[in-house]
Amino acid sequence: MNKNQTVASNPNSLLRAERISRTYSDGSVTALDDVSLDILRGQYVAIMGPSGSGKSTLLNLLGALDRPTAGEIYFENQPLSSWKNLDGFRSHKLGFVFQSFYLLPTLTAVENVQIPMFETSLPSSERVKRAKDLLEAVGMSHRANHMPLKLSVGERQRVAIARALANNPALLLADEPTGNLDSRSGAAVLDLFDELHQNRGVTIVVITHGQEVADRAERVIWIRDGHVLQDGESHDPPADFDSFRVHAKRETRA
Amino acid sequence: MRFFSILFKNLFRRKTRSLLTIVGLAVAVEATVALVGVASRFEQSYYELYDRTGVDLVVQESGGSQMLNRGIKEDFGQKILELPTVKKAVGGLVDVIAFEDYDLFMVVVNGWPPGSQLFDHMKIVAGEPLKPEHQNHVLLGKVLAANLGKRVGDTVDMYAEPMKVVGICESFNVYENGAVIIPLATLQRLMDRPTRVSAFLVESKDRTPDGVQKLKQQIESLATGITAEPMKSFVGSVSHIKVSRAMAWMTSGIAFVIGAVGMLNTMAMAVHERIKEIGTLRAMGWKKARVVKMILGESLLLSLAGAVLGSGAAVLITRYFATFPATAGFVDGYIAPEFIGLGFLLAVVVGVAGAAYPAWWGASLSPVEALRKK
Repeated sequence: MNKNQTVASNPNSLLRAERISRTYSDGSVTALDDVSLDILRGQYVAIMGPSGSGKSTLLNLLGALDRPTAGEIYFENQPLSSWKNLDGFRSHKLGFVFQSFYLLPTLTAVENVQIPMFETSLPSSERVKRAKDLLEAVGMSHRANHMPLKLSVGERQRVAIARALANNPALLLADEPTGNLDSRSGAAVLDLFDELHQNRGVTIVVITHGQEVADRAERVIWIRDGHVLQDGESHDPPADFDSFRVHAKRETRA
Repeated sequence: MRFFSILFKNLFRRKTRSLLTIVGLAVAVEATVALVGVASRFEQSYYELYDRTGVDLVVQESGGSQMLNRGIKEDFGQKILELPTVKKAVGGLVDVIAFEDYDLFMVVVNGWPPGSQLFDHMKIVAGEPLKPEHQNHVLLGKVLAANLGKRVGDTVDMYAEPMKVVGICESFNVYENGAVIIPLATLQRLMDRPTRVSAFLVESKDRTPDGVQKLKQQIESLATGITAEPMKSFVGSVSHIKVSRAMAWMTSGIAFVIGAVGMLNTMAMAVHERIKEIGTLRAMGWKKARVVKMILGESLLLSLAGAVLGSGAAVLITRYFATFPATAGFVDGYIAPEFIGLGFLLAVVVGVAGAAYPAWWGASLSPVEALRKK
């Protein structure tokens, strides 16, 4: 993907970014510069890059947690800027999985899963039933009434995934979902993502440092210094990315 | 799970802080309900004293309180009685003394003519009423008798003279139950105010506002330097009523400001500590309004808990002071429901005011800003 290249509208497009940029501190810091990409329905995409490359900024913009300084983001070919209320967009169309889980510590697992449902018209009994079904889908029904502190890190992430699926989102956005997990728990989470993608057709975008995470995706977008360097099916980094790979390995070892 | 469950769980998470905030607010509510309620009750009791004894006008010397001015000549009462619309006019002298050995201060001494209409509403529960031949004899109000530990036949020292207790009386009114009644002539002698009374209590035959107003003008035209005050405005102008009302509101106001600052501190800290949670909720799609509702809801629950605790404490404390000797002569232990309602209302206002800025600030942060905060 070259800089300054826009992406043509695709009927199968779920989330499309057109020449988006994000600057801070009155323009003195550029986190993302003129990025265009198109996430198609049903894809499993990994976004890779070193720290400070702009991948989290990209995820925040794609997830309508932040607004681009320039450019436009389209959901199902409709510009996000036309949405009156991005809160409603996030609650009904997106699901988020964070590296630090961000489960509410005063609520049990089943209660945490219900949190996004408060913005729907589901009655309380339906919310509980749906939350239990989701916990079963992620293999956590036996821990539904436990508080987050009583769960292992892997279990917390699975509850977070169930929460992200609460409102049947079109797109699941995950920011370093295995970053705080040991390899076994991390693998279990990735297996869950595979299952959601293959059996439920969930579109997934994952931000990651880790090659093992990117290897699970069908498409990898490489990003550095706020630019997209490569976007395609290849799981190998771009040719001039050696310094990045060494850097990424050092980070994953840490 | 209902939305309210989230509020309760958030408050229980910081039990100590929630409890301290509730207690702080409860103190403010208790101060307001008790002080303002008691001050109002002073005024109400004073009002009832005159209202239930059929007093429409209080005639006294202009420009001073009953206890500080020289008083009116006793024979002025006859001139009042000659007015065609006067039903009743009785003069009395009033003073305030202390029984220091019993730690009782501000005890009212009423000098009434024995057998006068002023005694009509009094019930003699022990001994006998005052008679015209009685001189150094007193009736004690029921509460005062209990506080002094005196019975019929005992003596009490007043104005450095021994007075014999001939009877114990009971009134509907807390002031009279904590007072001494002495023959008018005796009190005039003891106060060195021969032939003087503090005021005449006048009942009009025409008790309509116009009728009372006309009588007021007629009485004031009988002599210079005299005012005939309608009973309601008289009660409102009594200096110790005004002082107690002002002190009550001032103290309550200070207590509520402190309570509000405490609430603001609690909610501001709660929002700051939970900013990442708020960011998560917003990321999950919670609207700003729901976040605000959550924070205000928590504050409101704290306020209501403070109001319940504070109102309960106010009622208990007031009832206790009604049994306490030094205050039983003024406090009857009753707080009108509207003052408990006032306490709740102020608590809610403080709750909303204290949480408004933290709620707005927390909800206004963009999700990504909130998630980035440490």
